[in-house]
Amino acid sequence: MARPVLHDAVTLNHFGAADRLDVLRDRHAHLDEPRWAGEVKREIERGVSPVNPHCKRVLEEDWLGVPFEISPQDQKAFLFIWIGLNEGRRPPDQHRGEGESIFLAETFDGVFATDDNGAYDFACNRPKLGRARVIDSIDVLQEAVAMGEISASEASDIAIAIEAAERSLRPLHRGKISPAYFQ
Amino acid sequence: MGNDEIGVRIRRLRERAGVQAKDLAEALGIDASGVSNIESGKRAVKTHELAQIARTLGISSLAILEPNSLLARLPVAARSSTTTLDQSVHDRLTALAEIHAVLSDSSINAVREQTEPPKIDPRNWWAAARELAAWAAERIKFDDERGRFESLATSMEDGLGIDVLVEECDDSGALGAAITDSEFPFVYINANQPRARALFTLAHELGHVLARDGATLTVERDLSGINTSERLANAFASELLMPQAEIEEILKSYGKNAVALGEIMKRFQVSFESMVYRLHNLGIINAEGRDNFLSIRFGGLLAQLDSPEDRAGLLELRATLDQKRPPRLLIERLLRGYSQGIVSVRPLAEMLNQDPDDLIELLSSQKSESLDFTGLLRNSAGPETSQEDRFAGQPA
Repeated sequence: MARPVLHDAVTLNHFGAADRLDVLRDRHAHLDEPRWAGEVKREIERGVSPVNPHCKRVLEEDWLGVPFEISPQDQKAFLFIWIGLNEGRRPPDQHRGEGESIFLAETFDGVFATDDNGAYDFACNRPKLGRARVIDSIDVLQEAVAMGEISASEASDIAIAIEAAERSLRPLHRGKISPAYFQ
Repeated sequence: MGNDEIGVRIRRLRERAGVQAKDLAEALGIDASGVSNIESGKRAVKTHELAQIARTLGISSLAILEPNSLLARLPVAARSSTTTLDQSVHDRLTALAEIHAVLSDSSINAVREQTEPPKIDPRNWWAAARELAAWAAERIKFDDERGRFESLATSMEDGLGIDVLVEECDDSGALGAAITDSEFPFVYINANQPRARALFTLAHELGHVLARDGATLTVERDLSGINTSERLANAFASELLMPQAEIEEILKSYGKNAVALGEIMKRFQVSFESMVYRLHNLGIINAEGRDNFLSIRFGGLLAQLDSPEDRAGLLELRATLDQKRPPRLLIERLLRGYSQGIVSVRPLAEMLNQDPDDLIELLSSQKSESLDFTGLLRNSAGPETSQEDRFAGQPA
Protein backbone atom coordinates (compact mmCIF):
# COMPACT_ATOMS: atom_id res chain seq x y z
CA MET A 1 0.00 0.00 0.00
CA ALA A 2 1.34 3.44 -0.93
CA ARG A 3 0.40 6.60 0.89
CA PRO A 4 -2.25 8.55 -1.04
CA VAL A 5 -1.49 12.13 -2.01
CA LEU A 6 -4.35 14.55 -1.36
CA HIS A 7 -4.11 17.37 -3.87
CA ASP A 8 -5.23 20.87 -3.01
CA ALA A 9 -6.94 22.93 -5.72
CA VAL A 10 -4.00 25.35 -5.92
CA THR A 11 -1.55 22.61 -6.88
CA LEU A 12 -3.90 20.93 -9.36
CA ASN A 13 -4.55 24.31 -10.98
CA HIS A 14 -0.79 25.05 -11.07
CA PHE A 15 -0.06 21.96 -13.13
CA GLY A 16 -3.23 22.55 -15.16
CA ALA A 17 -2.12 26.13 -15.94
CA ALA A 18 1.25 24.80 -17.17
CA ASP A 19 -0.67 22.14 -19.11
CA ARG A 20 1.49 19.47 -17.45
CA LEU A 21 -0.98 17.49 -15.36
CA ASP A 22 0.74 14.43 -16.82
CA VAL A 23 3.63 15.02 -14.40
CA LEU A 24 1.27 14.81 -11.42
CA ARG A 25 -0.45 11.78 -12.92
CA ASP A 26 2.84 9.92 -13.46
CA ARG A 27 3.93 10.72 -9.92
CA HIS A 28 0.70 9.98 -8.04
CA ALA A 29 -1.83 8.00 -10.11
CA HIS A 30 -0.38 4.67 -8.97
CA LEU A 31 -0.76 5.56 -5.31
CA ASP A 32 -3.83 4.77 -3.23
CA GLU A 33 -7.00 6.82 -3.32
CA PRO A 34 -8.41 9.25 -2.33
CA ARG A 35 -6.53 11.78 -4.46
CA TRP A 36 -8.77 14.79 -3.96
CA ALA A 37 -11.51 15.96 -1.63
CA GLY A 38 -15.06 16.81 -2.61
CA GLU A 39 -14.62 20.51 -1.88
CA VAL A 40 -11.43 20.67 -3.95
CA LYS A 41 -13.39 19.47 -6.96
CA ARG A 42 -16.18 21.95 -6.22
CA GLU A 43 -13.67 24.82 -5.92
CA ILE A 44 -12.22 23.93 -9.31
CA GLU A 45 -15.68 23.61 -10.82
CA ARG A 46 -16.53 27.08 -9.52
CA GLY A 47 -13.39 28.40 -11.22
CA VAL A 48 -14.30 27.12 -14.68
CA SER A 49 -14.45 30.03 -17.15
CA PRO A 50 -12.99 31.01 -20.52
CA VAL A 51 -10.17 32.86 -18.71
CA ASN A 52 -9.34 29.76 -16.61
CA PRO A 53 -9.04 26.93 -19.15
CA HIS A 54 -6.83 25.00 -16.70
CA CYS A 55 -9.83 24.28 -14.44
CA LYS A 56 -11.53 22.31 -17.20
CA ARG A 57 -8.28 20.44 -17.83
CA VAL A 58 -8.08 19.37 -14.18
CA LEU A 59 -11.69 18.18 -14.16
CA GLU A 60 -10.95 15.99 -17.19
CA GLU A 61 -8.21 14.04 -15.37
CA ASP A 62 -9.78 10.63 -14.75
CA TRP A 63 -6.89 9.40 -12.61
CA LEU A 64 -7.95 11.73 -9.79
CA GLY A 65 -10.81 9.27 -9.19
CA VAL A 66 -13.91 9.90 -7.14
CA PRO A 67 -13.54 12.98 -4.89
CA PHE A 68 -13.84 11.96 -1.26
CA GLU A 69 -16.56 13.49 0.88
CA ILE A 70 -16.16 13.96 4.63
CA SER A 71 -18.67 11.75 6.45
CA PRO A 72 -21.17 13.30 8.89
CA GLN A 73 -19.42 11.44 11.75
CA ASP A 74 -16.20 13.28 10.98
CA GLN A 75 -17.70 16.75 10.77
CA LYS A 76 -16.46 17.96 14.15
CA ALA A 77 -12.87 16.84 13.56
CA PHE A 78 -12.90 18.46 10.12
CA LEU A 79 -14.50 21.62 11.48
CA PHE A 80 -11.72 22.07 14.03
CA ILE A 81 -9.13 21.94 11.22
CA TRP A 82 -11.18 24.30 9.09
CA ILE A 83 -11.56 26.85 11.90
CA GLY A 84 -7.80 26.72 12.48
CA LEU A 85 -7.17 27.47 8.81
CA ASN A 86 -9.30 30.60 8.75
CA GLU A 87 -8.35 34.07 9.94
CA GLY A 88 -11.10 34.37 12.54
CA ARG A 89 -12.99 37.40 11.29
CA ARG A 90 -16.17 35.37 10.81
CA PRO A 91 -17.11 31.71 11.07
CA PRO A 92 -15.04 29.88 8.47
CA ASP A 93 -16.00 30.42 4.85
CA GLN A 94 -12.67 30.02 3.06
CA HIS A 95 -9.93 27.38 2.72
CA ARG A 96 -12.45 24.55 2.93
CA GLY A 97 -10.69 22.47 0.26
CA GLU A 98 -7.42 22.75 2.18
CA GLY A 99 -9.19 21.70 5.38
CA GLU A 100 -10.80 18.65 3.80
CA SER A 101 -7.50 17.65 2.16
CA ILE A 102 -5.57 17.91 5.44
CA PHE A 103 -8.26 15.94 7.26
CA LEU A 104 -8.17 13.18 4.61
CA ALA A 105 -4.36 13.10 4.48
CA GLU A 106 -4.36 12.53 8.24
CA THR A 107 -7.18 9.98 8.14
CA PHE A 108 -5.71 7.93 5.28
CA ASP A 109 -2.13 8.20 6.51
CA GLY A 110 -1.40 10.16 3.36
CA VAL A 111 0.48 13.16 2.04
CA PHE A 112 -0.93 16.67 1.52
CA ALA A 113 0.06 18.54 -1.65
CA THR A 114 -0.46 22.30 -1.65
CA ASP A 115 1.16 25.50 -2.85
CA ASP A 116 -0.74 27.69 -0.41
CA ASN A 117 1.97 28.82 1.99
CA GLY A 118 -0.35 29.16 5.00
CA ALA A 119 -1.89 25.72 4.52
CA TYR A 120 1.54 24.16 3.84
CA ASP A 121 2.98 25.65 7.01
CA PHE A 122 -0.08 24.62 9.07
CA ALA A 123 0.03 21.04 7.79
CA CYS A 124 3.77 20.82 8.53
CA ASN A 125 3.00 21.69 12.16
CA ARG A 126 0.26 19.07 12.43
CA PRO A 127 1.56 16.16 14.55
CA LYS A 128 -0.08 13.57 12.28
CA LEU A 129 1.56 14.98 9.13
CA GLY A 130 4.80 16.86 9.83
CA ARG A 131 7.14 18.27 7.23
CA ALA A 132 7.81 14.86 5.66
CA ARG A 133 4.18 14.45 4.61
CA VAL A 134 3.54 17.83 3.05
CA ILE A 135 4.66 18.67 -0.48
CA ASP A 136 4.29 21.48 -3.00
CA SER A 137 4.64 21.72 -6.78
CA ILE A 138 8.40 22.23 -6.59
CA ASP A 139 8.73 19.06 -4.46
CA VAL A 140 6.75 17.14 -7.08
CA LEU A 141 8.95 18.47 -9.88
CA GLN A 142 12.15 17.72 -7.94
CA GLU A 143 10.95 14.15 -7.32
CA ALA A 144 10.01 13.76 -10.99
CA VAL A 145 13.52 14.87 -11.95
CA ALA A 146 15.09 12.54 -9.38
CA MET A 147 13.06 9.62 -10.76
CA GLY A 148 14.13 10.44 -14.31
CA GLU A 149 10.58 11.21 -15.42
CA ILE A 150 11.43 14.70 -16.63
CA SER A 151 14.66 16.66 -17.07
CA ALA A 152 15.76 19.49 -14.78
CA SER A 153 15.28 22.02 -17.54
CA GLU A 154 11.79 20.65 -18.20
CA ALA A 155 10.97 21.03 -14.49
CA SER A 156 12.29 24.58 -14.56
CA ASP A 157 10.16 25.35 -17.64
CA ILE A 158 7.05 24.00 -15.86
CA ALA A 159 7.72 26.14 -12.80
CA ILE A 160 8.29 29.19 -15.02
CA ALA A 161 5.04 28.40 -16.88
CA ILE A 162 3.17 28.26 -13.56
CA GLU A 163 4.49 31.69 -12.58
CA ALA A 164 3.89 33.05 -16.10
CA ALA A 165 0.23 32.10 -15.63
CA GLU A 166 0.30 34.52 -12.66
CA ARG A 167 0.06 31.68 -10.19
CA SER A 168 2.21 31.79 -7.07
CA LEU A 169 4.77 29.30 -5.89
CA ARG A 170 5.56 29.33 -2.19
CA PRO A 171 7.76 32.32 -1.16
CA LEU A 172 10.63 29.93 -0.40
CA HIS A 173 11.06 29.22 -4.12
CA ARG A 174 10.60 32.68 -5.55
CA GLY A 175 13.56 33.99 -7.54
CA LYS A 176 15.31 30.62 -7.42
CA ILE A 177 13.77 28.84 -10.40
CA SER A 178 16.38 27.50 -12.82
CA PRO A 179 17.39 23.99 -13.94
CA ALA A 180 19.98 23.92 -11.14
CA TYR A 181 17.18 24.19 -8.56
CA PHE A 182 15.86 20.80 -9.69
CA GLN A 183 19.11 18.85 -9.89
CA MET B 1 -24.53 13.16 17.85
CA GLY B 2 -26.85 11.15 15.63
CA ASN B 3 -28.88 12.43 12.70
CA ASP B 4 -31.98 12.67 14.90
CA GLU B 5 -30.31 14.91 17.48
CA ILE B 6 -28.66 17.10 14.84
CA GLY B 7 -31.97 17.43 13.01
CA VAL B 8 -33.86 18.47 16.14
CA ARG B 9 -31.12 20.92 16.99
CA ILE B 10 -31.22 22.51 13.52
CA ARG B 11 -34.99 22.91 13.73
CA ARG B 12 -34.78 24.55 17.17
CA LEU B 13 -32.03 26.93 16.08
CA ARG B 14 -33.86 27.73 12.82
CA GLU B 15 -37.01 28.60 14.73
CA ARG B 16 -35.02 30.67 17.26
CA ALA B 17 -33.47 32.61 14.39
CA GLY B 18 -36.90 33.12 12.81
CA VAL B 19 -35.87 31.52 9.52
CA GLN B 20 -38.54 29.73 7.49
CA ALA B 21 -37.85 26.16 6.32
CA LYS B 22 -38.35 27.24 2.71
CA ASP B 23 -35.71 29.98 3.10
CA LEU B 24 -33.24 27.51 4.55
CA ALA B 25 -34.02 25.11 1.69
CA GLU B 26 -33.33 27.87 -0.82
CA ALA B 27 -29.99 28.70 0.83
CA LEU B 28 -29.03 25.01 0.67
CA GLY B 29 -30.21 24.60 -2.92
CA ILE B 30 -32.58 21.77 -1.97
CA ASP B 31 -36.35 21.55 -1.81
CA ALA B 32 -38.39 22.01 1.37
CA SER B 33 -38.82 18.25 1.80
CA GLY B 34 -35.00 18.00 2.01
CA VAL B 35 -34.97 20.33 5.00
CA SER B 36 -37.83 18.39 6.52
CA ASN B 37 -35.86 15.15 6.10
CA ILE B 38 -32.79 16.72 7.71
CA GLU B 39 -34.77 18.09 10.66
CA SER B 40 -36.53 14.77 11.24
CA GLY B 41 -33.23 12.88 11.10
CA LYS B 42 -34.20 10.91 7.99
CA ARG B 43 -31.14 12.10 6.15
CA ALA B 44 -27.67 13.15 7.32
CA VAL B 45 -26.43 16.70 6.87
CA LYS B 46 -23.52 16.87 4.45
CA THR B 47 -20.51 18.85 5.67
CA HIS B 48 -20.91 21.66 3.15
CA GLU B 49 -24.62 21.85 4.06
CA LEU B 50 -23.80 22.18 7.76
CA ALA B 51 -21.70 25.27 7.12
CA GLN B 52 -24.41 26.78 4.94
CA ILE B 53 -27.06 26.11 7.57
CA ALA B 54 -24.90 27.79 10.22
CA ARG B 55 -24.27 30.79 7.95
CA THR B 56 -27.96 31.18 7.18
CA LEU B 57 -28.90 31.04 10.86
CA GLY B 58 -26.04 33.37 11.89
CA ILE B 59 -24.41 30.84 14.21
CA SER B 60 -21.33 28.65 14.40
CA SER B 61 -21.50 25.09 13.05
CA LEU B 62 -20.25 24.07 16.49
CA ALA B 63 -23.48 25.41 17.97
CA ILE B 64 -25.23 22.62 16.06
CA LEU B 65 -22.71 19.85 16.73
CA GLU B 66 -21.93 20.71 20.38
CA PRO B 67 -25.12 21.66 22.21
CA ASN B 68 -23.33 22.20 25.52
CA SER B 69 -20.55 24.38 24.19
CA LEU B 70 -19.97 28.11 24.55
CA LEU B 71 -20.87 28.46 20.86
CA ALA B 72 -24.28 26.94 21.57
CA ARG B 73 -24.78 29.46 24.38
CA LEU B 74 -24.06 32.43 22.12
CA PRO B 75 -27.26 33.99 20.78
CA VAL B 76 -28.35 33.34 17.20
CA ALA B 77 -28.58 37.09 16.98
CA ALA B 78 -26.52 39.34 19.23
CA ARG B 79 -28.44 40.98 22.03
CA SER B 80 -27.96 44.60 21.12
CA SER B 81 -28.48 47.62 23.34
CA THR B 82 -30.52 49.05 20.51
CA THR B 83 -32.77 47.37 18.01
CA THR B 84 -30.18 47.46 15.24
CA LEU B 85 -28.18 44.26 15.09
CA ASP B 86 -24.51 44.48 14.32
CA GLN B 87 -23.78 41.33 12.38
CA SER B 88 -20.11 42.03 11.67
CA VAL B 89 -19.25 42.30 15.39
CA HIS B 90 -21.38 39.25 16.14
CA ASP B 91 -19.57 37.29 13.42
CA ARG B 92 -16.18 38.44 14.70
CA LEU B 93 -16.87 37.37 18.28
CA THR B 94 -18.42 34.09 17.16
CA ALA B 95 -15.30 33.34 15.10
CA LEU B 96 -13.05 34.15 18.08
CA ALA B 97 -15.16 31.90 20.31
CA GLU B 98 -14.70 29.14 17.72
CA ILE B 99 -10.93 29.60 17.88
CA HIS B 100 -11.18 29.45 21.67
CA ALA B 101 -13.10 26.16 21.37
CA VAL B 102 -10.45 24.68 19.07
CA LEU B 103 -7.61 25.73 21.38
CA SER B 104 -9.43 24.53 24.52
CA ASP B 105 -10.06 21.16 22.90
CA SER B 106 -6.27 20.75 22.83
CA SER B 107 -5.98 21.97 26.42
CA ILE B 108 -4.49 25.29 25.32
CA ASN B 109 -6.00 27.52 27.93
CA ALA B 110 -5.15 30.98 29.20
CA VAL B 111 -2.07 30.92 31.43
CA ARG B 112 -3.51 33.53 33.79
CA GLU B 113 -6.18 32.39 36.16
CA GLN B 114 -9.43 34.25 36.21
CA THR B 115 -10.43 35.75 39.53
CA GLU B 116 -14.05 35.23 40.49
CA PRO B 117 -15.91 38.51 41.04
CA PRO B 118 -18.34 38.76 43.96
CA LYS B 119 -21.86 37.46 43.44
CA ILE B 120 -24.20 40.40 43.04
CA ASP B 121 -27.92 41.00 43.05
CA PRO B 122 -28.52 42.54 39.62
CA ARG B 123 -31.99 43.77 40.64
CA ASN B 124 -30.24 46.27 42.90
CA TRP B 125 -28.08 47.49 40.03
CA TRP B 126 -26.65 50.59 41.72
CA ALA B 127 -25.36 48.70 44.77
CA ALA B 128 -24.16 45.89 42.50
CA ALA B 129 -22.22 48.35 40.33
CA ARG B 130 -20.55 49.90 43.39
CA GLU B 131 -19.64 46.49 44.81
CA LEU B 132 -18.17 45.29 41.52
CA ALA B 133 -16.29 48.55 40.97
CA ALA B 134 -14.74 48.38 44.45
CA TRP B 135 -13.67 44.80 43.77
CA ALA B 136 -12.25 45.70 40.37
CA ALA B 137 -10.46 48.81 41.64
CA GLU B 138 -8.33 46.61 43.91
CA ARG B 139 -7.13 44.68 40.87
CA ILE B 140 -6.74 47.42 38.29
CA LYS B 141 -3.75 49.70 38.20
CA PHE B 142 -4.25 52.93 36.27
CA ASP B 143 -0.93 54.14 34.98
CA ASP B 144 -0.88 57.69 33.59
CA GLU B 145 2.39 56.99 31.75
CA ARG B 146 0.84 54.20 29.70
CA GLY B 147 -2.50 55.94 29.47
CA ARG B 148 -5.67 54.97 31.29
CA PHE B 149 -7.09 53.03 28.37
CA GLU B 150 -4.04 50.82 27.89
CA SER B 151 -3.47 50.35 31.62
CA LEU B 152 -7.10 49.30 32.11
CA ALA B 153 -6.87 46.88 29.18
CA THR B 154 -3.61 45.41 30.50
CA SER B 155 -5.02 45.06 34.01
CA MET B 156 -8.09 43.32 32.65
CA GLU B 157 -5.88 40.78 30.91
CA ASP B 158 -3.22 40.33 33.60
CA GLY B 159 -5.36 40.69 36.69
CA LEU B 160 -8.78 39.45 35.61
CA GLY B 161 -8.06 37.07 32.72
CA ILE B 162 -10.27 39.07 30.33
CA ASP B 163 -8.97 39.57 26.78
CA VAL B 164 -9.23 42.99 25.12
CA LEU B 165 -9.17 43.43 21.34
CA VAL B 166 -9.18 46.91 19.80
CA GLU B 167 -9.58 47.24 16.07
CA GLU B 168 -11.40 49.25 13.47
CA CYS B 169 -14.82 47.70 13.14
CA ASP B 170 -16.50 47.12 9.78
CA ASP B 171 -19.58 48.75 11.24
CA SER B 172 -18.50 52.20 12.36
CA GLY B 173 -21.64 52.53 14.50
CA ALA B 174 -20.62 49.82 16.97
CA LEU B 175 -18.75 51.10 20.02
CA GLY B 176 -17.86 47.80 21.61
CA ALA B 177 -19.01 44.31 22.47
CA ALA B 178 -18.29 41.55 24.95
CA ILE B 179 -18.57 37.84 25.45
CA THR B 180 -19.68 37.74 29.07
CA ASP B 181 -19.47 33.97 29.49
CA SER B 182 -16.92 33.03 32.17
CA GLU B 183 -15.50 30.33 29.89
CA PHE B 184 -14.12 32.93 27.49
CA PRO B 185 -14.55 36.50 28.73
CA PHE B 186 -13.65 38.80 25.87
CA VAL B 187 -14.03 42.54 25.25
CA TYR B 188 -14.05 44.08 21.80
CA ILE B 189 -13.60 47.83 21.26
CA ASN B 190 -14.05 49.73 18.02
CA ALA B 191 -10.89 51.82 17.47
CA ASN B 192 -12.84 54.30 15.43
CA GLN B 193 -14.18 56.42 18.30
CA PRO B 194 -12.86 59.24 20.52
CA ARG B 195 -10.41 58.14 23.21
CA ALA B 196 -12.59 59.30 26.07
CA ARG B 197 -15.58 57.35 24.80
CA ALA B 198 -13.43 54.28 24.09
CA LEU B 199 -12.22 54.27 27.70
CA PHE B 200 -15.77 54.48 29.01
CA THR B 201 -16.88 51.75 26.57
CA LEU B 202 -14.04 49.51 27.78
CA ALA B 203 -15.06 50.00 31.43
CA HIS B 204 -18.74 49.55 30.50
CA GLU B 205 -17.99 46.20 28.80
CA LEU B 206 -15.93 45.15 31.82
CA GLY B 207 -19.03 45.84 33.90
CA HIS B 208 -21.05 43.50 31.70
CA VAL B 209 -18.42 40.74 31.98
CA LEU B 210 -18.13 41.02 35.76
CA ALA B 211 -21.90 41.21 36.27
CA ARG B 212 -22.41 37.88 34.49
CA ASP B 213 -26.06 38.70 34.15
CA GLY B 214 -26.90 35.69 32.03
CA ALA B 215 -26.23 37.23 28.65
CA THR B 216 -23.41 35.71 26.65
CA LEU B 217 -22.84 38.45 24.13
CA THR B 218 -23.53 42.16 24.21
CA VAL B 219 -23.05 44.67 21.43
CA GLU B 220 -23.17 48.41 22.12
CA ARG B 221 -24.14 50.99 19.57
CA ASP B 222 -24.63 53.64 22.21
CA LEU B 223 -24.25 53.67 25.97
CA SER B 224 -27.74 54.72 26.96
CA GLY B 225 -29.10 52.99 30.06
CA ILE B 226 -32.13 51.42 28.40
CA ASN B 227 -32.40 48.52 30.86
CA THR B 228 -31.07 47.38 34.21
CA SER B 229 -28.11 45.58 32.68
CA GLU B 230 -27.00 48.67 30.75
CA ARG B 231 -27.54 50.94 33.75
CA LEU B 232 -25.43 48.61 35.89
CA ALA B 233 -22.62 48.64 33.29
CA ASN B 234 -22.74 52.45 33.05
CA ALA B 235 -22.76 52.88 36.82
CA PHE B 236 -19.87 50.43 37.13
CA ALA B 237 -17.83 52.34 34.53
CA SER B 238 -18.49 55.67 36.27
CA GLU B 239 -17.53 54.27 39.68
CA LEU B 240 -14.37 52.67 38.37
CA LEU B 241 -13.18 55.55 36.22
CA MET B 242 -14.24 58.49 38.39
CA PRO B 243 -13.91 57.58 42.09
CA GLN B 244 -16.05 59.78 44.30
CA ALA B 245 -13.25 60.66 46.71
CA GLU B 246 -10.98 61.92 43.93
CA ILE B 247 -13.73 64.00 42.35
CA GLU B 248 -14.46 65.61 45.71
CA GLU B 249 -10.76 66.29 46.17
CA ILE B 250 -10.55 68.07 42.80
CA LEU B 251 -13.62 70.15 43.56
CA LYS B 252 -12.14 71.04 46.93
CA SER B 253 -8.80 72.08 45.42
CA TYR B 254 -10.12 74.02 42.42
CA GLY B 255 -13.55 75.08 43.62
CA LYS B 256 -16.73 74.42 41.71
CA ASN B 257 -15.78 76.09 38.43
CA ALA B 258 -14.95 75.38 34.80
CA VAL B 259 -11.28 74.68 35.54
CA ALA B 260 -12.29 71.97 38.02
CA LEU B 261 -14.56 70.35 35.48
CA GLY B 262 -11.77 70.42 32.92
CA GLU B 263 -9.44 68.90 35.49
CA ILE B 264 -11.88 66.05 36.17
CA MET B 265 -12.07 65.29 32.44
CA LYS B 266 -8.29 65.36 32.03
CA ARG B 267 -7.50 63.42 35.21
CA PHE B 268 -9.92 60.61 34.43
CA GLN B 269 -9.72 60.85 30.60
CA VAL B 270 -13.49 60.95 30.29
CA SER B 271 -15.87 62.86 28.06
CA PHE B 272 -17.79 65.95 29.09
CA GLU B 273 -21.05 63.98 29.08
CA SER B 274 -19.66 61.15 31.26
CA MET B 275 -18.42 63.71 33.75
CA VAL B 276 -21.74 65.55 33.91
CA TYR B 277 -23.67 62.31 34.48
CA ARG B 278 -21.19 61.31 37.18
CA LEU B 279 -21.61 64.63 39.00
CA HIS B 280 -25.36 64.04 38.91
CA ASN B 281 -24.98 60.40 40.11
CA LEU B 282 -23.01 61.65 43.09
CA GLY B 283 -25.57 64.33 43.94
CA ILE B 284 -23.07 67.12 43.28
CA ILE B 285 -25.47 68.59 40.75
CA ASN B 286 -29.20 67.99 40.42
CA ALA B 287 -31.15 66.88 37.34
CA GLU B 288 -31.74 70.45 36.23
CA GLY B 289 -28.05 71.24 36.57
CA ARG B 290 -27.19 68.11 34.61
CA ASP B 291 -29.50 69.14 31.77
CA ASN B 292 -28.16 72.68 31.80
CA PHE B 293 -24.59 71.42 31.48
CA LEU B 294 -25.56 68.99 28.75
CA SER B 295 -27.21 71.82 26.83
CA ILE B 296 -24.13 74.05 26.91
CA ARG B 297 -22.09 71.01 25.80
CA PHE B 298 -18.34 70.54 25.68
CA GLY B 299 -17.88 73.69 23.59
CA GLY B 300 -19.36 75.75 26.40
CA LEU B 301 -16.78 74.43 28.84
CA LEU B 302 -13.92 75.03 26.42
CA ALA B 303 -14.99 78.64 26.01
CA GLN B 304 -14.70 79.13 29.78
CA LEU B 305 -11.05 78.02 29.90
CA ASP B 306 -8.39 80.69 29.40
CA SER B 307 -5.31 78.48 29.32
CA PRO B 308 -4.47 77.06 25.83
CA GLU B 309 -2.80 74.15 27.64
CA ASP B 310 -6.03 73.26 29.43
CA ARG B 311 -8.03 73.50 26.22
CA ALA B 312 -5.52 71.41 24.27
CA GLY B 313 -5.59 68.73 26.97
CA LEU B 314 -9.35 68.46 26.69
CA LEU B 315 -9.41 68.47 22.91
CA GLU B 316 -6.97 65.54 22.93
CA LEU B 317 -9.72 63.44 24.49
CA ARG B 318 -11.77 63.87 21.36
CA ALA B 319 -9.02 62.45 19.10
CA THR B 320 -9.88 59.07 17.64
CA LEU B 321 -8.40 56.10 19.50
CA ASP B 322 -7.25 54.78 16.12
CA GLN B 323 -5.01 51.95 17.30
CA LYS B 324 -5.05 48.22 16.79
CA ARG B 325 -4.51 46.31 20.00
CA PRO B 326 -4.33 42.53 19.85
CA PRO B 327 -5.77 40.48 22.73
CA ARG B 328 -2.68 39.35 24.67
CA LEU B 329 -4.09 36.19 26.27
CA LEU B 330 -5.51 34.90 23.01
CA ILE B 331 -2.30 35.74 21.15
CA GLU B 332 -0.32 33.66 23.69
CA ARG B 333 -2.72 30.77 23.18
CA LEU B 334 -2.61 31.15 19.41
CA LEU B 335 1.19 31.03 19.45
CA ARG B 336 1.06 27.77 21.41
CA GLY B 337 -1.67 26.47 19.12
CA TYR B 338 0.35 27.45 16.07
CA SER B 339 3.45 25.56 17.19
CA GLN B 340 1.32 22.49 17.90
CA GLY B 341 -0.47 22.61 14.54
CA ILE B 342 -3.85 23.42 16.08
CA VAL B 343 -4.25 26.71 14.22
CA SER B 344 -2.59 28.15 11.15
CA VAL B 345 -0.69 31.42 11.04
CA ARG B 346 -3.76 33.20 9.62
CA PRO B 347 -5.62 34.17 12.82
CA LEU B 348 -2.34 35.36 14.35
CA ALA B 349 -1.41 37.37 11.27
CA GLU B 350 -4.83 38.92 11.14
CA MET B 351 -4.77 40.00 14.77
CA LEU B 352 -1.19 41.24 14.64
CA ASN B 353 -1.80 43.04 11.34
CA GLN B 354 1.06 41.12 9.74
CA ASP B 355 1.51 39.58 6.33
CA PRO B 356 0.98 35.81 6.85
CA ASP B 357 4.03 34.86 4.76
CA ASP B 358 6.27 37.27 6.71
CA LEU B 359 4.95 35.91 9.99
CA ILE B 360 5.59 32.31 8.91
CA GLU B 361 9.18 33.26 8.14
CA LEU B 362 9.57 35.03 11.47
CA LEU B 363 8.10 32.16 13.48
CA SER B 364 10.12 29.56 11.55
CA SER B 365 13.35 31.35 12.36
CA GLN B 366 12.44 31.19 16.05
CA LYS B 367 12.31 27.42 15.82
CA SER B 368 16.09 27.25 15.48
CA GLU B 369 16.76 25.54 18.78
CA SER B 370 20.53 25.59 18.33
CA LEU B 371 20.71 29.36 18.70
CA ASP B 372 22.91 30.21 21.68
CA PHE B 373 22.37 33.87 22.44
CA THR B 374 24.76 33.88 25.40
CA GLY B 375 27.51 32.45 23.25
CA LEU B 376 26.70 34.82 20.41
CA LEU B 377 26.96 37.81 22.74
CA ARG B 378 30.21 36.57 24.38
CA ASN B 379 31.91 35.89 21.06
CA SER B 380 30.73 39.19 19.63
CA ALA B 381 32.33 41.27 22.36
CA GLY B 382 35.26 43.56 21.56
CA PRO B 383 35.96 46.97 20.08
CA GLU B 384 35.39 47.89 16.46
CA THR B 385 38.16 49.58 14.60
CA SER B 386 36.38 52.91 14.27
CA GLN B 387 33.21 54.74 15.15
CA GLU B 388 32.16 54.43 11.49
CA ASP B 389 32.28 50.65 11.86
CA ARG B 390 30.17 50.73 14.99
CA PHE B 391 27.40 52.61 13.24
CA ALA B 392 27.74 50.95 9.85
CA GLY B 393 25.02 48.43 10.60
CA GLN B 394 22.57 50.79 12.21
CA PRO B 395 19.08 49.85 11.21
CA ALA B 396 16.94 52.47 9.53
